[in-house]
Amino acid sequence: MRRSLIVLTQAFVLSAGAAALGLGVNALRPGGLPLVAAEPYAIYKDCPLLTREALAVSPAALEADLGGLLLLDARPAGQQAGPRPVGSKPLAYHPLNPLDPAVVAELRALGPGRVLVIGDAELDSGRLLAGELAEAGLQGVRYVEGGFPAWQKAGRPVEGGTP
Amino acid sequence: MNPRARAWLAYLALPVRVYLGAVFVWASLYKIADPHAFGLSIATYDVLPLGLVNLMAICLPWVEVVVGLALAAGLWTRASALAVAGMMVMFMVALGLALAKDLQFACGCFASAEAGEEIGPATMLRDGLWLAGALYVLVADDGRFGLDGLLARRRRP
Repeated sequence: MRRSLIVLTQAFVLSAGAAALGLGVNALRPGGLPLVAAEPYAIYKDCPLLTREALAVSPAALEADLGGLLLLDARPAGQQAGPRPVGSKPLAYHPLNPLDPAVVAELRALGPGRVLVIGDAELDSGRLLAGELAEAGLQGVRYVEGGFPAWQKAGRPVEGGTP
Repeated sequence: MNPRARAWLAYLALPVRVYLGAVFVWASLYKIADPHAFGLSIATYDVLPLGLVNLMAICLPWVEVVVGLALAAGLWTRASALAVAGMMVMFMVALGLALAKDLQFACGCFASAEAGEEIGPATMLRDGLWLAGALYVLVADDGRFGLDGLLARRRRP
């Protein structure tokens, strides 16, 4: 009993001491957090309100050779694990999560008209991501109208997964 | 229990506590480096009132790193294991509540909410295994293979 009490006391001393250390470091570090948040954390960003729509293109109207394009797969991760457009690059995208600025910079560096976004049908993620990229300064970004289902239906090349 | 069996149990607890200590130190690093990102992770769980989120974001990483180092080094071994077990129970309760609400977001355990792995039953299972490990150390490790043992041997006449 006495032994358990000692262990319990030691655990409390360790935790309380460490917490006090954390408070001390936070007080001393530049830009430390206020002890109580002044306003609620922005858990989600606002759903993108696009002022610059990207260009929609139907899969049938796409040029036959897409070699010079980067195909961005903007579907949810579960769908990306299945069949996907040949040579596409998966991007973890959700309209309520902020875009990674490094990814945007990387895409912008490709130059104008080099990105084609393929999303899913339910979330309309292709249109939203392409719009967000256009907002972020990417020029000539296009998205496939109807997303991946339309891509498949038009007989565009697909790889991976079990259909 | 005979001394030989007890020694074996203590011996087996050594890698467990070193591993758990390393996990906790590793988990604390991004939280200490970016307390705001960790605060966001805590807020995403929607368990704590806003008034406690920052306090938790400031203090918890330091508890993790201190307790993790103590556990790995075998200093106040049982107390460290108890603190780790307590934290694991707290994490699992938060995780369980979030899963019950069908929330989908990154765990925030080792990386910020924007970069980490998404919560799910696998996260709960992993935390359960770490809890079991901490409880094993709490019961089986008598501190002989760590600073506790070293200090005790020095104190003996």
